Amino acid sequence: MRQLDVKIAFLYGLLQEQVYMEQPPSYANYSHPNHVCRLKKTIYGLKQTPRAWFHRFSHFLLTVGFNSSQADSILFVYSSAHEIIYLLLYVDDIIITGSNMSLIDTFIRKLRHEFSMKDLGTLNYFLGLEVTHSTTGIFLSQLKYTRDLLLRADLLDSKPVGAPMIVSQHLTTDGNLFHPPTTYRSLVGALQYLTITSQILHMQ
Amino acid sequence: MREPKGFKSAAKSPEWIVAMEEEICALKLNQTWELVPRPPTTNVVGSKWVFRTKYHLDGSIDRLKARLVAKGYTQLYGLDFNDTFSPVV
Repeated sequence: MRQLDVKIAFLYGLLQEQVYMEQPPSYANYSHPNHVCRLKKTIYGLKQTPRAWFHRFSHFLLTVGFNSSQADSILFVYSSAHEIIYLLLYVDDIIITGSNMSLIDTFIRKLRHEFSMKDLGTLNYFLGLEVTHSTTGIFLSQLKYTRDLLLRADLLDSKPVGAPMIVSQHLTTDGNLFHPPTTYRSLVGALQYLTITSQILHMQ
Repeated sequence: MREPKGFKSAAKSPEWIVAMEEEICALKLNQTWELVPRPPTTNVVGSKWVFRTKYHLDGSIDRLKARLVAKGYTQLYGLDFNDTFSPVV
């Protein structure tokens, strides 16, 4: 399994709409300081940028023979009579695996010809999942994700407990709010992601 | 090094100016836009600089990054954007 990421992915999108943007602050053209930028490609911050990037990338994959999976539109599959390649895309992160290493190499060369990419080599960390390779297969774990989460919550040195909450505790709506709320929401989201992925790991 | 909030504070340090010039070069190379006279009636979205320090795993500074972003919140549906759904992000 190989991992790659696309550099400046969001600048590859082609714009369908007519979008005008102010010249960059303090980098206005000397001879035309009052001109504006008519965008030909997407830039970070526009509403349609993620969509345009996904369209550009998936369109490229379709032209080189991949099909988008019916079950999950971010999974792309190339299959010929004897070989198969799977590609998974998460925004600008890509993992690739398949039946034939040299076929994968050829495909990655095509990909690099189209987009500027960073080859991260063998897959070892993707979307919070750690991947360890051994002779018998791969081992998935969330050790690093969990540790980073504890660090963010400032609980790295806290003792683990068996029960997550005191049984006799009564919850009320008054009292001090957690501050800042963004950290709280982000931690709840991260915990949800952790539980969802760990369920998937347990099933396997 | 603290990350500057906007162009004014970034312009005080040569490192951030280099980062901004790199970004401008990349955008030019990419042919992201063409300069045109300001259209009299249509919407023009604002642009701003976002400054980020990238770190190595050991915590040392990797590089300083300046990114030019469009103020997407000033876009108008049907005028300068239509569909926005994407399966990822």
